[in-house]
Amino acid sequence: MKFKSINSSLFLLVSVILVVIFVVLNSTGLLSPLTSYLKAGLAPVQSYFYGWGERVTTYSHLLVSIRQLDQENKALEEKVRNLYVSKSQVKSLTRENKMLREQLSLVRERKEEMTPAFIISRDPNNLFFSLGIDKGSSDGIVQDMPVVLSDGVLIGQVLATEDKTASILPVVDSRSKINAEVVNSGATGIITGEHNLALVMDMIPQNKEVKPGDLVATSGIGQLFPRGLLLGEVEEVSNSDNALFQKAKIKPLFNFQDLRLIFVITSW
Amino acid sequence: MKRFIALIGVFIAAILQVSFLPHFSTRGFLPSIIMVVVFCWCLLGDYQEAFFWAIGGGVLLDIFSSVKLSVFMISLLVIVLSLYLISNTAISFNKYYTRTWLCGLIAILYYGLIYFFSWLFSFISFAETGIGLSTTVFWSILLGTVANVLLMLIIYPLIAKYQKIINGFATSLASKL
Repeated sequence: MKFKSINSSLFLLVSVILVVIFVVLNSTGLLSPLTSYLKAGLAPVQSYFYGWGERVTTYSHLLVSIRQLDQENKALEEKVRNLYVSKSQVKSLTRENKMLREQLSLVRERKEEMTPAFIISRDPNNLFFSLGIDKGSSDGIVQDMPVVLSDGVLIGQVLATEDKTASILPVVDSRSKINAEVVNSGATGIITGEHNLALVMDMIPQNKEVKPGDLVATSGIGQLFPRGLLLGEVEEVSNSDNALFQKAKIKPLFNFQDLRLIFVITSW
Repeated sequence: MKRFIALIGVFIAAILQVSFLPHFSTRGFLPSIIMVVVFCWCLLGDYQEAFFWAIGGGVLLDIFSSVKLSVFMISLLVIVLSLYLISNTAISFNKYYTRTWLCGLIAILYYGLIYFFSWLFSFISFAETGIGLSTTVFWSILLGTVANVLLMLIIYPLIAKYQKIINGFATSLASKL
């Protein structure tokens, strides 16, 4: 074996020392300036590879799903019809809301400032699902800022920033905890991620009604996120007489695999 | 020259791992290119190269990961050490069948180590990780293991061929000198 030579032993010893130094420096955050430069330098290459992977999957999905297109088309047509109905209802409710706000002198328009960013990488650790983006502290991005899709669906929050890059903690990550409320009933709870697959809403009071199909949004409690950012749709509710709280499985409104362009809310 | 090629290889593998492969993940789990390459070098008996890949690849994966405690480098080095110890037993790495089941076992060990270290370090850093063993995690590890074995079956012959070329080149250079 090559380890048996003196040179190899020396190589092994030096490497072990380097490993220990790296572990200590990385753990204490002293490597941050160096990693920041490295990440900034690699960001364009990563962006290229990410886009390339996206194109490959898009074409392969297209080839596989040609048969399903007809069925999907019919389902989407029905959804569009329903959305038209909802839209008209929303319009009338908006009018009514505006009128009531004017009467109560509570007019406050939502003015969120957003910075667009592209996803360039994902966490290599299969346990966590953080995302890397091509914008960082030099673009005004700060830790804990909310991250959304263009239509106001919450993706997650900024986990850490470097000069030119940042990492995002998506809502589906098991480390994520968000104060949420069910839009229809106003039932509040805490949403946590479940291994990139679903969301779980816990701590829902027993006296509040929650049913499948209800939309869930941020509650604004804690002021980490603006109120009303959509999180998902209730899929299943588990309730037992002995339990203090209800629990609901939430289906996210975005496909984690398809994320590319996201928006960081820099102020609201 | 060999180290320079390896360094480029490590960079490409790490970028493919974090920026290209995630598009093809199954239930969030992916094959680990660097782990498979480290495994292949160990099987081919070149532990220096395996060590180099474990350190270089580990450093890059740790930089790209959101866990700041060098989980990848430590896990990859444990893999190299385990395979080195196994190589001193009666088990022969030359058999196709042995390579396959051993890769499966090593992949399970690798994921297990990442889980264990992430869980352990979460106590040290007082960060809540929400890590727990569930059916989802079990299936994810199983799928990841299968993906690693499949990747190894593709990569192993390529690395073996590359090793032959490099060794042949070194021998001819030595004879000329």
